[in-house]
Amino acid sequence: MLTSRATNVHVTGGQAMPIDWSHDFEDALERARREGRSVLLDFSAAPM
Amino acid sequence: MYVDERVAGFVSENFLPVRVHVKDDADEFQRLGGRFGAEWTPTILIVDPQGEERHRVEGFLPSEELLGQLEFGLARVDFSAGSYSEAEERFRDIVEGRPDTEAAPQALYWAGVARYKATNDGGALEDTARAFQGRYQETPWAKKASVWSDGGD
Repeated sequence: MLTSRATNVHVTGGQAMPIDWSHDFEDALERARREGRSVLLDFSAAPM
Repeated sequence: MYVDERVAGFVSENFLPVRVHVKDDADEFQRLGGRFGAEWTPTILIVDPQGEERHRVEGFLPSEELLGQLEFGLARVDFSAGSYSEAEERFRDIVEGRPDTEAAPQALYWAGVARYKATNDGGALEDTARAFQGRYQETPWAKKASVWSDGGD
């Protein structure tokens, strides 16, 4: 099972503003169904 | 693309974000990349709650352009769910709020379609064709909308 990792931290005035990326698409989709939200699925080669 | 705090904030507020890395998540990249036909990075998919892809962004975009595309994706999710009024509002927000982005002329076109779907009033399409007479004439969306004008063929 892939775990959640916060990456691409942007620092503004000392405050970290990360995106809390999940790496489990099926889990996110299940949450999306429950909450009526959409999934942003990012296929990336950027440094983690 | 996510280092801009506006983008990071928009993603966090509006989506359940999932990242699949081509090397670090190689097995997932092969599985999900194959499922969705992702052949290049970065590729961003907006996936609705039913698991259907509703919008795709391939390649790097500057922040303002990316925000327009993400908003467009949410509008397409609403449109595909039959929430035409909500979709139209989102499309028009792009046109008004990000008028110089690539998403804007596409959003103007789809705002007209959403209004037509919501009202079944052909005037919505004619209004859209007229709106294109004053802007975005160089885009394919103006050409597509031209068929709705009185002189369209």
